Amino acid sequence: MMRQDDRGSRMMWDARARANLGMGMFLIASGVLFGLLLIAFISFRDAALAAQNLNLQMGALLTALLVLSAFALWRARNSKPAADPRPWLLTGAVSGTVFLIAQAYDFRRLISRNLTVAQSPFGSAYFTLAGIHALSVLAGVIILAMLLALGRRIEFGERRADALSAVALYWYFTSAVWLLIFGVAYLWSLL
Amino acid sequence: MTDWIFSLDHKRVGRLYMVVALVFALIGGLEAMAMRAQLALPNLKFIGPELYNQLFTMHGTTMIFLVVMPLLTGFGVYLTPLMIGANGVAFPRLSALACWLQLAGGILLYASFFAGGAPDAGWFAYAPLSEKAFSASPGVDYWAAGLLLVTAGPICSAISLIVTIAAYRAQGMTMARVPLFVWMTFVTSIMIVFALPALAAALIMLLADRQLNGLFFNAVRGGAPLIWQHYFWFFGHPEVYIMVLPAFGMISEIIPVFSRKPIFGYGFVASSTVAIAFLSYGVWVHHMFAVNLGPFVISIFSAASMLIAVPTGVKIFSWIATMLGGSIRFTTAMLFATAFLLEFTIGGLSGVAFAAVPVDWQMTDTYFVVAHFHYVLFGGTAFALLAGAYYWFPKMTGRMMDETLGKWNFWIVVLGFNLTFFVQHFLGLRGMPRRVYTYPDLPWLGALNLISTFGAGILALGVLLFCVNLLVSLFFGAEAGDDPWDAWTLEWSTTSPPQALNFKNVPVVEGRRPLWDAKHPETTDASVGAAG
Repeated sequence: MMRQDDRGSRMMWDARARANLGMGMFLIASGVLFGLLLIAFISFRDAALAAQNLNLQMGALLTALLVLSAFALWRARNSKPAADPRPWLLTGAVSGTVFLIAQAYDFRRLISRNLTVAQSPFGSAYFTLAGIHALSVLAGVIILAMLLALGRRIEFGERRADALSAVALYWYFTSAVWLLIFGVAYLWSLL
Repeated sequence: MTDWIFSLDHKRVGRLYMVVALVFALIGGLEAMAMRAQLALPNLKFIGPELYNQLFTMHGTTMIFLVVMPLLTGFGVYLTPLMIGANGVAFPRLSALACWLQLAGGILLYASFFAGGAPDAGWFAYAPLSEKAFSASPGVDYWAAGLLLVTAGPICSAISLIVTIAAYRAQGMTMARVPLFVWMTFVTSIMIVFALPALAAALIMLLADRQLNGLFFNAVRGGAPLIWQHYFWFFGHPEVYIMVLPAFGMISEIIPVFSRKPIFGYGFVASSTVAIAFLSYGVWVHHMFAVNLGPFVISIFSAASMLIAVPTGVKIFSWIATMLGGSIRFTTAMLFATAFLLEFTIGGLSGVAFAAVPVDWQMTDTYFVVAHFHYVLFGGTAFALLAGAYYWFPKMTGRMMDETLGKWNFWIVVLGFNLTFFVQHFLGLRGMPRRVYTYPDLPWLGALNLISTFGAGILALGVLLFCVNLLVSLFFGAEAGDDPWDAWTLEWSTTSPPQALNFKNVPVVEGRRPLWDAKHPETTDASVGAAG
């Protein structure tokens, strides 16, 4: 079936498929970036330094927060058209924000224990990887806040649902990257 | 003015890309001329070593990131919707943002000149030379920060183009029917998505080292400078194809139209491009043969590097077979396209020579390398861009470029280009290293360098003539009409320049040459059994 957009172009794909393809391409690019930072981290992995400094409980808490937010986004994305997805969006945004606060607190704790970017290649790689990841969580929280702000003015129609679908993909990805970081930086060295 | 700044029209964004890139091309050209002047004679002291390091770093960075990539992206953003029968790109805001990101990155890069010195570690900024201990001025910081912005640009525009090509094709415009330029843009865009983040990762690590005293590349304290080379070339070799595949696409549009024959082996040209895309991620170590990685590793990468010449060669034969037996019209566009075949093949063959490890060991970091990649990027990409400019200028402006000036432009550029760079093969063979600001008066070095500098002057004249032709034709060129070349692809079916809305009625496509089919309803490609 052919569709038309507002400029009269014929569409082979519907808007949700287009949004998902665009987001998918962006996530491939992000995946290459995080993959290479992760490889750098693995090549500088230092089990002794990790055991001295990283806190497994903190890592587990951070992981739980992102899993919760990803679950919330999954519920928001798959909510029935009649249902209001905003409570789930809010849950996602709040748990993302708590993640950022907890991560900032943990960075301070590590620095006070004298694990810094300049202390060792392990430190450089850990802070770079976790720091860039935290930036992408921050970007996700901002996007969720924008969706929430728009949602108040505009009914959650079809176009909102398309945006929501793409944003949810972004959250799944960001959470998955954290699961990898948790696995490599915490579980691999501490268990 | 605000029309341009806030424009979401893909044709405006495309032209904006090109105009900005042309300005940077003139700056990058001036840097090249300054270097050639310094090298004209042995032992000259016209430019000192510090400034010379900055000049070759900025020349390479400018030409790759601020000239070639934006020009190709500009053509891609301008032409893709027109060629597939769409009225716009998928994400117009993202496309416009991409253009502005690239410009902002370029400005940041050039701001380094006013902040204590331009970057001076070469366009590939090898660690640890690019570390603070060896490059203390803030130039490399500006370079890394600027390039982070610049890399975000092509990724954004690539995402928009991928979705455009996947989802916005007109009815009947299957992937087996899209013009080859669109095919090349599609494959290039996917390559950008996979390759440029590797540069971003390396830049982030370099900035962590320089700004936060990180230790990624600090070998003394446990870091690994070699990671820079791996990451950089994991981006850098696909980058070569990112800069040349869209040029192949232009050649694949121009040669058939001026040979009055459909492209020979459409399927081979398209599928060999996919092969190049895959192989290009498996050859990066050929930039690192001088690193001791062991015979097994370098043998694999040597073989892969020779292999990638095969799908490239397939294309050359396709283009030659297209010309064979055609009634060729040597317009300026066709002259540049034909010269492209010769010049690019020279650059391709010297590349195959480099894939042989002993040859690489002998000639790496000599002027032979400089000659090789200028034959690829100037003799290849820039010639294709010039052909594309003469071919699509009438569509973009509604006016023809002057053919007499064009012919002068062509012959002067061909003469100047070959004088400049052909002799550099011999300079390299005689042992002249790259990136030196001067050289001793050894046999032949002075004479060959003087010829090269003389050629560069002629080449500069040719490029200026092109700019003059652009400006003169923009105001005084003959009216072009919709379809001055009697061409076949959909961009020629609309007005020149196209209205804000590209097509009032989006056409239904039944073959690879929709405009031919429309002009010759009695002998459409489908009716005479031509592929499509």
